[in-house]
Amino acid sequence: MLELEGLRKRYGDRVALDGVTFTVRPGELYGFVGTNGAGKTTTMRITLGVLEPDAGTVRYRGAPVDAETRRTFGYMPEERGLYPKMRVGDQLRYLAELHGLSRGDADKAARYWMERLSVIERAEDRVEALSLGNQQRVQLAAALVHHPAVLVLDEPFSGLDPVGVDNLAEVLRERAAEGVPVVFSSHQLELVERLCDSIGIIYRGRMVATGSVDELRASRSERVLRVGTDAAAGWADAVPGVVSAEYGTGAATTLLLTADADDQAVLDAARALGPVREFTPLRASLAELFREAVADHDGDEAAAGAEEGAGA
Amino acid sequence: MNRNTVRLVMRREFVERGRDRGFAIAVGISLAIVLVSVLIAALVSNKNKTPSFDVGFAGSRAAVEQQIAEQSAPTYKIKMTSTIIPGDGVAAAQQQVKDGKLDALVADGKVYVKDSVDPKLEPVLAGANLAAQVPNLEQVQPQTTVQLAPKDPEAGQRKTVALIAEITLFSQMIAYCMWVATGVVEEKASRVIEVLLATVSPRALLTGKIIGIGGLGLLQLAATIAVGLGAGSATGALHISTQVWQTVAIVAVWFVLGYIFYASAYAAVAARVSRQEEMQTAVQPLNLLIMVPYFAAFAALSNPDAVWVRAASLIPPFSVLIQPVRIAGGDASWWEPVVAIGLMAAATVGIVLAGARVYENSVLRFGSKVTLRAAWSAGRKA
Repeated sequence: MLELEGLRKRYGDRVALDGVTFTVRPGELYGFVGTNGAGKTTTMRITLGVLEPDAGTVRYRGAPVDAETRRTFGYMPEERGLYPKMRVGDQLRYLAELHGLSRGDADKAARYWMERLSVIERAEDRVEALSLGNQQRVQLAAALVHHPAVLVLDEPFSGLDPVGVDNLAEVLRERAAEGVPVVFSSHQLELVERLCDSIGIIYRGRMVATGSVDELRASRSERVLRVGTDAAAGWADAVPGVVSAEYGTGAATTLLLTADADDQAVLDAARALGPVREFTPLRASLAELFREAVADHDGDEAAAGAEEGAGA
Repeated sequence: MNRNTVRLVMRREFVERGRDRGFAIAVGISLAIVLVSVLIAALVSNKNKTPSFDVGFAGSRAAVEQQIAEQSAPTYKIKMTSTIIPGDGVAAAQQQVKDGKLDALVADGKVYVKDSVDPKLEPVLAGANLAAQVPNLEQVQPQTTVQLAPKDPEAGQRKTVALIAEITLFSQMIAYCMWVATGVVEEKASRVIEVLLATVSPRALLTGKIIGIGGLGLLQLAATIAVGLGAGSATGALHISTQVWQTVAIVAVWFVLGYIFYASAYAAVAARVSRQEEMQTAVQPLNLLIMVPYFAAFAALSNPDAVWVRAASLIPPFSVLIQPVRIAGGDASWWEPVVAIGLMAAATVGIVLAGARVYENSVLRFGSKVTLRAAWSAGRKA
């Protein structure tokens, strides 16, 4: 179990992280999403010890993480980086050894991952001679080569073709199935929704929502309902619980309801006006959940940020 | 700081750089320079070599003249090979003189030469001629020289050795420090630094890099010295004395100290920039800090006892390039190198600590050059 608790970080006057807390359970794929500059990369860098937090702790298996534990973590930074002039095989062996593998094990692991990610025939080539796609695979191999106990990947899917996305998804699921906590950030929300067991949404240095997609849906303040009816526009305006209504041209109405609204009352109101051909609660996509979570915290966050800046 | 990771970083630097074509070229060039300077030195010293002459003695006084000439030859700094020519060989000997196989033939007060008597040989033969005519030979006292202010017979060689040591030290230090700087920027520019720092501490990374590249430097130094000494003694330009070995040891010690000092400074400066192009400008002041004492060392070579030389040879980091000149010139008192090395070692410890701090604070900050203030005070907390 990887636990981040109360991480704070400030760059000069700018607050980058303002108490980031979340937990990744063993065997869990955790999707870390947020707008650009929200604090994803800073959080990951702190988790890996590349940066030091101003406050807060990172714990693994209940104990604060030290350098020795971090050596067992696997990390793929957002800014990809490998020695351009070093040979692929040498590079992976070197990184594996740096992470504490013996020379023999490092060699075996490097071969395994080069084969698995189909770059084995480029083992003797310098990294700079590889295509960007292949460099990306080597980068991934670099994060995986020492059998990490925890995986932290910053935007691992960006720049991959659909086949590469599927390969990576498979590798991540497989790692998770072996009990490794896996955290990755991504802007591809559909992918996150499809892959992840848990999701954390970070906005302006704060976690604004955490949980499974279903939990996030259940906790929303509003629900969306689509009703197929021939009733005239404006029919639902007076129904209790309806926040707003959108009367489409195709004889379907999209209603925004408060969380505690009685949808059966809506159905009754619609049926009273004629036949109801469709009555569908719309499941919000992660993208919608994300936008809502961000919008909810837009106002108060600016105020809190200013207060924080003045206080500390 | 994990010793094992330092070792791994060190090994990578050593192996990867050693494989680099740049290293082969650098070693090739330095060996070529050493060979050329040894050859030049050999040519110069051949010119100053003791001249040698083949002389034949004939006639009634031949035996006595030969004996006296042989005795006095070393005094006049010549080497003489002589033979007694029997009476019937004189004509043949004259022919030999004509052919240039014999430098001179002395017979009964006459000196036969091809054209003229070599001025170095002339006093020897003249003296022998006079002495041989003195009735009581035992009364003839050979002239002896009393040296009132003798010159060091090895002074010339010392200067040559010091010069070569100086050039070697300078070129090695500047080349390997630049490699360290390039390596630091390479890691930053390629962003591999972030992958590394997730498992290695910045200090371990810096230590491994400096030691690994320095190891290559020592290897090149050893090769240069081996080739230099080998070629020098083979061509006769150098005779291997204790003094030569002392110089070798001195160069090695000063290279290690100077390299660690400057490499830490170069690494710290390089860590503040994110691209190779910026690095060239950033290390400019450090280049000057090596070049100024280097050129000063040339001036020191001709006047190694000047007060400014004595002073500069103690002050770090100038001592790195000035002190070896003083020792190789044979003019330093025993305590001077001890004090110079002590001071330099202390300065090196200081610069290593300061350099590591700046490196640690700068190496993860990408983009524009990190200000010195930020690099000094920030900590990885910012």
